Order: sequence, then C-alpha cells, then structure tokens
Amino acid sequence: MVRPDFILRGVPGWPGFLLCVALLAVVGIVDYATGDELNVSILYLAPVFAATWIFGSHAGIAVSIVAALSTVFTGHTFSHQAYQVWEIGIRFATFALFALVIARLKSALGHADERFATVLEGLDVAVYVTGMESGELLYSNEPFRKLFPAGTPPPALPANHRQGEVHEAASGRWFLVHVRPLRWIDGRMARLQIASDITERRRAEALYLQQQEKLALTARLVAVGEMASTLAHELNQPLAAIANYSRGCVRRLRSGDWEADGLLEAMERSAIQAERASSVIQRLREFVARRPPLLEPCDINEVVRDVRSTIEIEAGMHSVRLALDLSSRIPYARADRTLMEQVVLNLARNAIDAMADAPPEERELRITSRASSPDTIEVEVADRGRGVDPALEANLFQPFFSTKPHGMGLGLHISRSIVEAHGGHLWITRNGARGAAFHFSLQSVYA
Amino acid sequence: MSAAAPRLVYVVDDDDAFRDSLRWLLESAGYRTALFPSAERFLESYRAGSGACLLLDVRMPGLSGIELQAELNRRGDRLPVIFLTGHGDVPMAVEAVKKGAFYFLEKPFDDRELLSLIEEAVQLDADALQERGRRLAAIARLASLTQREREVLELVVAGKKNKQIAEALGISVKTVEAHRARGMEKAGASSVAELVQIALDSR
Repeated sequence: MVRPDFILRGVPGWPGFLLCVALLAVVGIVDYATGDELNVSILYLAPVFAATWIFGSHAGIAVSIVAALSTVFTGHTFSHQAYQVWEIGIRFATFALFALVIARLKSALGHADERFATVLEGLDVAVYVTGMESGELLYSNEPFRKLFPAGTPPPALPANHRQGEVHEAASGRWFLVHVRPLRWIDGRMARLQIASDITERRRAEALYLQQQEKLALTARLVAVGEMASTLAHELNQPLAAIANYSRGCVRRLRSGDWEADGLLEAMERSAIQAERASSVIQRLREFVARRPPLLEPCDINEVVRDVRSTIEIEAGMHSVRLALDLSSRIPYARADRTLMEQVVLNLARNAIDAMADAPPEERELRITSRASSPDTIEVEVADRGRGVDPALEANLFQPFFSTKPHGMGLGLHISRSIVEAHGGHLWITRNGARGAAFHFSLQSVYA
Repeated sequence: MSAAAPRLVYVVDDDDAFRDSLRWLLESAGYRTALFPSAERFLESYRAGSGACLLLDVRMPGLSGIELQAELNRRGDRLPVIFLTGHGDVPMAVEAVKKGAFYFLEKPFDDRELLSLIEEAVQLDADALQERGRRLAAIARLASLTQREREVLELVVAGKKNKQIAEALGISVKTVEAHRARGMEKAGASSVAELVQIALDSR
C-alpha cells in the first residue's frame, strides 16, 4: 500500500511554512515576470496544495486569498476595475475549492491509514517488514517493538523457508514465523514477516509429553506390582493348604486318633500343593531368567503338532476352530524347541483371545508353515478377530503393553525376544479382510 | 458344650485345595465342616441358628466375601465371620472387621491362632443362640398369661405390694393374690427375682 503522506511527511512546522512561502514567492515572481503575455495562475495551486496538505484547510484558504490577491501586485492590466475584482473572485473560488477538496482527500486517506494501523498495532503477533537486500527494518508494529526492543535481532528463518519455529536463545522464547516476499512502497523487494510467540504452547506440549511418559512409567510399575501381587497370592494358596494338611496330620498323630489311609491321602494332597507352588515359581523363572536358546535342528511342524492338543483345549473352550496348514517340504530350523513351543502357544492364545467378540462360526485359528526361501522358514498364526488398530501397532511389542483387561503385556514382547535371539523376525500383517496374522521367521539349518 | 454334637464351621473359599486342607485341619480339632466354593452356593444351603462360625475368603469370583458379609448383616444374621485374606487384602479385611466381622487372618496362618479364634467365635454364636433361646422361651411363657394376670405381674415386677396393686387395679387383695400365684406358675417363676429375670429376657 502506498501511503500518500509519505510525500511530504517530515516537513511540518517551520520547514513546511517556509516551503509554502517559498512556493508562493516563486510562483508570484514568475507571474510578475510573465506579465499579461502568459496566464500562469494555475501554478498557484502548488503552494495551495502544500499548505493544505501540511497545515490543513485553513492554511490552504489563507494561501488561496494571498494567491487570488496577487493579481494586484503582478502587473496585470484590466480594462475595467470590475474585471479585476471578477478575476480575483474566480481565482479565490478555484483555489479555495481546490484546498477544500485536498483537505477532504487527506482526511479520508488518513482515516483509511489509521484503520490499518489500528488493526496492525492491535494484533498480538509481531508484524515487521525488512528489506530483502539490506535487511533494514522498514516497518514494525507495536507488539514487535515490545518483543524485540531496539537492538534485539528479530527471529529470522533460514533462507527460502516460508514458515518455521524459531528459538530465540537470548530470551529463551519460541516463535512461529511466517515469511512472504513483498514489494515495498518504494518499489524495493522486502520481506513481510509475522512472528507469534508460541513459548507457552511449546511449554504445554513439553509438559504433556513428560506427563505421558510418567504415566506410562507408572502404568508399568503398577503392572509389575500387580504381577508381584498375583504371584504372591498364587503362592499363598498352596502354601496355606500345605500348612493346613501337615498341621492336621500332626494333630491327629498327637491325639492318637488317626488312620494310615487318611494321613496318606492328606500327605499326598499336600505334596500336590507343593508341586503347584513350585510350578508358580517355575513360571516366574521363565519370565525372569533368559537362558540362551539351545539351537539345534528342529522340525517346526513337529513343534506345532506338539502344542496342538494344548491349543485345541483352549480353542475348544472359546468355540474356535483350529486349522493347520503345514508344508511338508520345509527344511529343519535351527531353533530351541521349548522356546519355539512357547512362541507358538503364545501367538495362538493371543489369536484365540482376539476372536472373543467374533461370531462363533467365523472363529478360526490357522497356523501355517512354509519355506519362504531355502534359508528361511516362516510360521504364520492368523486369526479372524478385529485385527490390530494401526495406532497401537507400534506399542504391540512393548513390555507390559496389553489390550486385554487382565493381560500382563509380556507375551508378544517375550515372543519377539525369543525369535530375535534365534536370528529371526516377528511381525504382523492383516489377515485378508478380517483379523490379524502374526508371522515369525527362523533360519533353516542350511542358512 | 463340646460334649454335644460337634460344632460346625462353614468354609467359603474358591480354592479347592485350600478348602479341602481346612477341612482336614478342622476335623483334627473335632469340628464339623461345611465347605462351599462360592458365596452363592453358601447362601443356597445356609440356614441360620446352629451355633457355628464362617471362615470366609475376602476375594472370590462372583459374590465376594465382603458382599456375603453385607448380605448376612442385611438379614440380621449374627453368624460370626472370620475373614481369611490373601496377599494385599488387609485394608479390605480391616474394613470388614469394622462392619462387624469377628476377626481376620492372613494366609498362611498359624493353626493354633485359627483354632482358638474359631473356638471363641463358635462360643459367641452358641451364647447368642442360648440368649435367643431364653428370650423365645420367656416370650412364649408370658404369652400364655391372661390380660389381668399380665397387669398384676407387670406391677409386681415394678416393685408394688399386693395392696397397692389391688388399689391400682380396683380389685380385692385376695383377687390380686390369686392372679399373682397363677401368673407366676404360668411364667415358671418361683420367686419375684426369677420373674424379673424372665421379664428382662423377653425384652
């Protein structure tokens, strides 16, 4: 936008007054010098304009009076006195009208300018224009002056960037800066830049992230606490039963009122409880201890068939059909049998759980084995459940992440650790239109 | 007491082995046991009033121990409850004691402690039962009194002399004596002190 007041801006007061007087004098002299030969009265419009623009309509009318009366002193001859009066009147009317129009025009332009200025100054973002070449500050609004007092360099984006977040090391504040090229009022190329202070937003975001991390950590600690609590409870039951059985035996033996059969039965039952306790500890050990896998040639189909009955029992309880599709032409894998059984069981259990909401006739668990190359064996465990939410996929293998209400969130994590310890991979795909498929790969003995 | 039928202990716990082992222990101390795998099954077959106590697991699938206790409270049943808690249920058990449970023990527990608690609890229940029995008996006896006999005996219990009673009821002293003698006989009281006791029992 070209601002008209630029033309004479900076010349009010004495310089302005002198300018008007000088213009008036020059035009007067020219008028006098040219006499009757040339009519140069139109030139008086220049001092009228200057006076009106600088000092307002009153000054303009004053200059108009002087310019109109100047015919008296500039040696013009009139055939009749009345003609001279007519000439003065016409001149005055013309000049005064011109002065009024100019005054009106200036005020209208001034208002328009003021509206823009008010909006720009009232924004809570810093708006500033710098020269493309010189980098000189051409325009700035009030918020800019507040954020970057004289001497503070405003945030600058790297060349050719139109938008970005800039950190001001000095103030420690963050700014979102937009840049647009612009042709400035004097024709130079300039940059229009808008900087908003986003320090608070950044701070809130950082805080949110921190809280999320804390929350995740707390959730994990709670999960560990729950695991400890569950284990304690599971150990407590058999231990309490053992104590009851043996004390019952002691009492009977002390009182002399006993039968060998009864005591034997109780001791048998007590021993079973001891085994139950030890299996709880065994499970705990499986969680904790990580023995290195015992790699030996192993038929993965045989592994699947070995855990088949276990899977079938659990599948049957949830009305899930089990389908095996095992390729007879696959090489032996180099793997630890027991650990592989755990992985297959784990994936199968997950698959069964995933279909809890599916219509019973659709619940099918399919385990497929194939040789994806002479070096690689691949096993796929596919369900027809709801599939995995892509948003959760990244978390799926995190320890203690679970979508099940009572899940420990360790199954997939452990399975993946086991497969990777074998040099293989565990990954997930969609199972056609419905459900998820977990795959794992193992190196064959030929690899 | 112990000379009578063996005292009864109810056990409600969802762990089969634990229930069975408790039976083995309690029978060695001369108790009869009735075992239930859930609060629901217990409520199905439980009938109040046998002088017993209840060993109750706090946490069970279905109706929890705490809820079973609330149900018994609601029925006005004063069967003493000893809570058996697993790991981490202590605050819950303390809450249960505040709501009137007899005691709580953490598993695994000392058998002597459990047995002495059961002894106390069963005794408490038996006493309460006896108390209730006496009360019922007293109410039954007093129920057979006629209106006039009741009025006379009420004044006797209040410490009035025959003459005062006669004046208060507007009847002759002789009639008062007759009602009093018959009333005492019906109530089964051989002295004024016994009559006062029966009146107190019936309240």
